[in-house]
Amino acid sequence: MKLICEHLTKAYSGREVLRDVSLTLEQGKIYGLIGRNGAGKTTLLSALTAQIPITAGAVTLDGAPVWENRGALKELCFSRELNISSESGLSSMKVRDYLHYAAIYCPRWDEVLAQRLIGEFQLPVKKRLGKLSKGMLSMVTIVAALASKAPFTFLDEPVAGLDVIAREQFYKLLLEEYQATGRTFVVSTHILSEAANVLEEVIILRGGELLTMTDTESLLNSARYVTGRAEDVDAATAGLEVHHGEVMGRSKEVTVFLREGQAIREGYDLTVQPMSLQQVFVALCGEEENR
Amino acid sequence: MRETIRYWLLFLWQTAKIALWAVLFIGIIFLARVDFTRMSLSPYLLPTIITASAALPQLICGPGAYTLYMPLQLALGETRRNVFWGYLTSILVYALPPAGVCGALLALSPSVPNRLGLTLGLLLVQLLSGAFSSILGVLYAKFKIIACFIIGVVSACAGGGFVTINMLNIFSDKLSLSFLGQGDVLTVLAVTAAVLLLAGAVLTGLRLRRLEVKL
Repeated sequence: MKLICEHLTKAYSGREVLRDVSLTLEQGKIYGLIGRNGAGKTTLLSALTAQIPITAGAVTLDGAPVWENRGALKELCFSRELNISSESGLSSMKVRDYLHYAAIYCPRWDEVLAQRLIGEFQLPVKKRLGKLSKGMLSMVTIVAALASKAPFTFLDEPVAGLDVIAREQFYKLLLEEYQATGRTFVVSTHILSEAANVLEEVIILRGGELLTMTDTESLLNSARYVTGRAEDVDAATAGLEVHHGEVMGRSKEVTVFLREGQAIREGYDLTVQPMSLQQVFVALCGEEENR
Repeated sequence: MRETIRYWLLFLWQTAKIALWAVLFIGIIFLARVDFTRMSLSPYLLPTIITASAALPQLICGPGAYTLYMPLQLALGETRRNVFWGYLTSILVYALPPAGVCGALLALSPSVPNRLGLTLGLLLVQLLSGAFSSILGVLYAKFKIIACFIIGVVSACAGGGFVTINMLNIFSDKLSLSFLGQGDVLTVLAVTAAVLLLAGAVLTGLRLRRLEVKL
């Protein structure tokens, strides 16, 4: 099963928030969707799951359009961040009612798993959503997403508001579920330090455009943080893909992305270090600010 | 479609719960004022209470359908087409039990003339209320504050007026709903209900077509 979006564009009053995004999501992978605030992450997830009309392009599941296709939508679950401050009236809905509605719409809903997660997270099911903390609301979305058993499950900022222990618990559960079922998860997150080990592929959005979609290991293997005298750095990295250069006095630090067969030239007095996903993300998306 | 039916039945149950509490509350107030030793219980009393109690929560809950239940249903993976038909069907389904109960109660009162026409009239009143709630729901979802004001005024005028007039009639022993069963009144009610239902359906369809899910 493949979820494909081709040349997806979404505009509001002529302003494009997603521009010509094309990607393919395959079954049995954990994707990380990362990007700065306003990069279009939630819009992309909404478009992939037909929760917003798109301006141009197409989203298909195994060749069939997702839009107005209940058969395709049954295979998808988008557990969105709950905004209880909105005027939707969601704040007055009880946790158990919300999960009950979710259960109606998920043909593979696993009530045993839902009850187990409710217990593990100590969720007060009789409470109204409006009475829950941000962390607790995230837990509700996690329960809905994992218990849905949907082959393609999208989680929008699932760890927002969670403390470090709960975040670890979430990633452990995600991996457990992934290993047991081979479902596809797309997780949008800002907290990359903990997610890096879990995400098989990363989708990076910048300013509404797909900057890159690649497997995490290759991305990290290709990225190098290079520091040294400015002229040495320039000479050693000439012809390579260089990002986020910063000059401080006579020294310079840059992020280099090496393609297959490429290497940083030797013979210069440089410090070359591997990078974390968070550093790579900053190198790729931090430039937006300076442009 | 099975999911849509289950989903909107739950929505209807939320509305009906308010209606049942309203029946109880208004019923107690009305019955407390009836002096059983001096006057006979009007056969129109319970139908009046039931109709008012069913219509008011529908007007109140209508906006919630547009701001919460429809977006939530789409968020859970329903198609816009099914949301549209599910909601419209729920309006029709919601109108049937109160009208049916009223019809059954009226059937037990042989003194009431034109019981079938009156039952039909009460059904049309319920449908009118449903159509109003859909139009107000769209307005609320689109214009929020202005719509709140409109909803307040409409609910106060429709519900308050209906209840007040009938309370006054009850206390003066003049309660009658028989006018609802008259041919020309039925025609006006039917045409108005049809026009408003159509308007509500068109507005709902237009809203759903471009609706962006935000919860």
